[in-house]
Amino acid sequence: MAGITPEGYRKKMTRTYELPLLYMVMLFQFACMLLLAFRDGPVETFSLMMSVCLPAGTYIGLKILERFFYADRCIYILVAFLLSLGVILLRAVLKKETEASEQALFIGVGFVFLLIGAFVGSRSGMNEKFLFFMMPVCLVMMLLPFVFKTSSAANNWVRIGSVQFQPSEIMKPVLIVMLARGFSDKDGWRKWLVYIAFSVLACGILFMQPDLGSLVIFFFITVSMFFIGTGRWKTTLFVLALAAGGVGAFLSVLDKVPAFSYLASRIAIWKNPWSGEYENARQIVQGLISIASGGYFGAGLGLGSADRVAVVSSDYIFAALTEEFGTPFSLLVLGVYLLILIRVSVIAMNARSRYHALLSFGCVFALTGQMLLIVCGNLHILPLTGVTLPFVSAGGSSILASMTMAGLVLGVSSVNAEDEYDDLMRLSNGRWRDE
Amino acid sequence: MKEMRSAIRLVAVILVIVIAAVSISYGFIIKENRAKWINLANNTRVADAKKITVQGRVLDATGLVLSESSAPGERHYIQNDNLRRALSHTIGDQKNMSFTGVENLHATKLLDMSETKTGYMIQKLTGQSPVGNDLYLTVSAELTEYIYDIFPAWKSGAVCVINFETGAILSMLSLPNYDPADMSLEVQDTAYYNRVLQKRYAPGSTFKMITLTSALENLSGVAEEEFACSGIWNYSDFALRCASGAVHGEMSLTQAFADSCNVTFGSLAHRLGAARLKKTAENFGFNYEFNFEDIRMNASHILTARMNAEDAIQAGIGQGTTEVTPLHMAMISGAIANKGVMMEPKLIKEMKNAQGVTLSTMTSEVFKTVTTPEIAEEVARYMYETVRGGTGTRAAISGYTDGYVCGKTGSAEWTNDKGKDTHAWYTGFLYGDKAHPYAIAVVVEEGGYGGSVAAPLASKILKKAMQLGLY
Repeated sequence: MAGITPEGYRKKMTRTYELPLLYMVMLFQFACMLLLAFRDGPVETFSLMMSVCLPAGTYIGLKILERFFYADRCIYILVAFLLSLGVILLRAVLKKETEASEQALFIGVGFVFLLIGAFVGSRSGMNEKFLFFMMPVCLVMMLLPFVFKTSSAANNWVRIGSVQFQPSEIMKPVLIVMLARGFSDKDGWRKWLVYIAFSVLACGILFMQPDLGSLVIFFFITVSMFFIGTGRWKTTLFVLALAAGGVGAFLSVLDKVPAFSYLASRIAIWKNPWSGEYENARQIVQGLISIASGGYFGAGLGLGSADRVAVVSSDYIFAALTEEFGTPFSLLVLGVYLLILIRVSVIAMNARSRYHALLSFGCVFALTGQMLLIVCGNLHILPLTGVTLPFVSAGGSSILASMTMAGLVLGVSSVNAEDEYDDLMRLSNGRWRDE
Repeated sequence: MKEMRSAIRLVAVILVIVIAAVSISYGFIIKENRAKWINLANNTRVADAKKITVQGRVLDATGLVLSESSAPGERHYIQNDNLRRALSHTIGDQKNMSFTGVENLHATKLLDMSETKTGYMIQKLTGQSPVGNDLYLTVSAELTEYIYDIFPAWKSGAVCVINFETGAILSMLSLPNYDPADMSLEVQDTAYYNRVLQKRYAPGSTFKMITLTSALENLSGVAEEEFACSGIWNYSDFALRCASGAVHGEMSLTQAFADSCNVTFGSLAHRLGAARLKKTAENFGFNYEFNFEDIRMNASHILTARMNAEDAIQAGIGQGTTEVTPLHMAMISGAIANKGVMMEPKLIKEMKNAQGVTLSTMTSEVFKTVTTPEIAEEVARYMYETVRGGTGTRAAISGYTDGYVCGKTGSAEWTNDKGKDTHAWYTGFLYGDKAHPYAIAVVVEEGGYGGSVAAPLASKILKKAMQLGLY
């Protein structure tokens, strides 16, 4: 009887419980796309193509991932489910298929980012000198929207030629990698302050744009990673209290400062979208109608009218989800995010180094926080911010950033598995076997 | 590492709790608001639903069918031309021209959109079109047609009659009107506009009800004071005159109200000041975005911009930037008659599905308490004196003994052009008559004096309503 090889270990992992989940997700992708291909009118070739490509892509992606990493398949499958849900919804809701096909293309590119993320995540932390060099570069990149302005009210986009991207999205995984490196070091305040200063500057730029959704995400990423990395709960509470006070003070002067009129009107719209006083309130009202229209079973795939909500493909994709699939299903999707959160939290707690623990948890914290922010915005619990629903909303920058973060998590899970394997081999003097 | 694990566990547990809280509140939000949101007038899914669903009928309080459909996408209206035109704004239309009508605002109910798209499935499977819900309104078609008949010919204006105890709208008439059965006919440019709900008029002297309420609330002993009127009061460079050059001389507050003395009420408003007057008016629902379930009504305004002494004086006699919708005026009168309690206006008495099963019935809801019962009774007494021996004598109903006719007239200036007639206002109610708790507001645009044009109309309308036994 030979000792178990890495191949054998991989086999042991493949054999287990994730396969039914994988097949269910593939069936879901196939069925949804087939349904969309054969709705009223001529057969849609794009949807027909996707009914094969999505399940095949999910399967092949898993095989490629397994070739290089001992990654957690469960997370991969759930992420693939959310990604394909985005393509399905975009195709179902919008008249044109361009956004759905672009989304599929971005997911393809994103898979490369996912692999890169997994590679970065499976290594130990980067050289600090390199990070210190990167910090100003990143800040300059975040300043780009002021140079290459677009028409949108909040200038958080960069347009160069026909290519548009959102630096704040791309910055998210970068920030997490940096902070994980900084706060995992026990050196104390002198080092932490450098990273905190970087984060504060980034937040300042976001405030000027103004991109409050990303600002909130960046702020909470920094605070939570600081807390986990350093364990200074008193400082953390103090900062949170300070931030709450700051927000209160900011809200009280909001009406008086003309520079913030854009924000003031957003909050006024949130408080009373019904009066018809504000043009932009239409979006919220239509979004709520869309959410309410879903009912228990939804309108049926492709039968909803969520395209009447402005910016449905990114801001209001959750409303589209509810209308097409119904309220229980959208709760289930929230459950998928919950599963990812729990699963990654376990990975973070099992991580062998402080860096890896921080890195994986930082990623899932960002994804979950972003999800909560936009879902609460859609449900009119919080004012609407322009952040995307991770993995589902349309948008290249957002997909690439989310997939990179998923990759980082998968990388950490791969390190865990390798370490676990090493441990088992060591404890059994190389005699541990595949049962 | 150990502390780090517990920190991660802590943050993860917080996140899990937040997700759970959001999911649960999501469920409650949907449960609570679903019907309301679907029934919002801006639900553009209506157009799709009209293609597959047979719309339900619209019926008046007596069960008279005002409009009905026999197949998806079509609509038939009641044959009687006068009746159809009189009720045009109440019924609404299929082209979404008058967006406050029942067929527009409550289209989602007529189409039974609460079960989204199951109708689509039913149609696909059985080939039968689903049928929507019937809406029974609180309005009386006969009364509305009667008002249309007696309204001065070729005049624009608005009339509404409500039951101030339940909030039910018994009649709404807006002129000019249109024909919902033939939308291709040319109409006057404001014909699609429901003046009762949407047009903001200067209230003129009818606003003195609120100035009086404010004075009784804030100035103790004001009811016993004597007032003097020389026909004109010069306040800095602004002269306030009584209507048609009247000089009222020495009088009590009751008499000043009954004779609608501008000088007295201007000075009362001045003593109250803009802030207190505005507060009382806001108690009555001014400067408030109404968000009623059954109707969509524009907000009434008072002292929204400047608040200096001159503005207060102007507001005290219902001029300046003060503006009010006719239904709101009827609600104000009704609140005084109802011991200071303003009811939410209701238009839909009952909703039944195609099988005749009642899905919902009207429930009376208090909108707000506007003043104390004592002050409301006091104001009602002043309004009774107005009809008994003041400007509103022509609102009296001959042979009526079951209660007291109370009211207030108004002749509102609406333009600086002195050649144009004022808008004639009358608002009032029947006090102490359990069987006929009516409040009314009448506006005749460019009608002249409220006491001679609007008041007699109100008298006839309320008499007719009593004959019909409306409640």
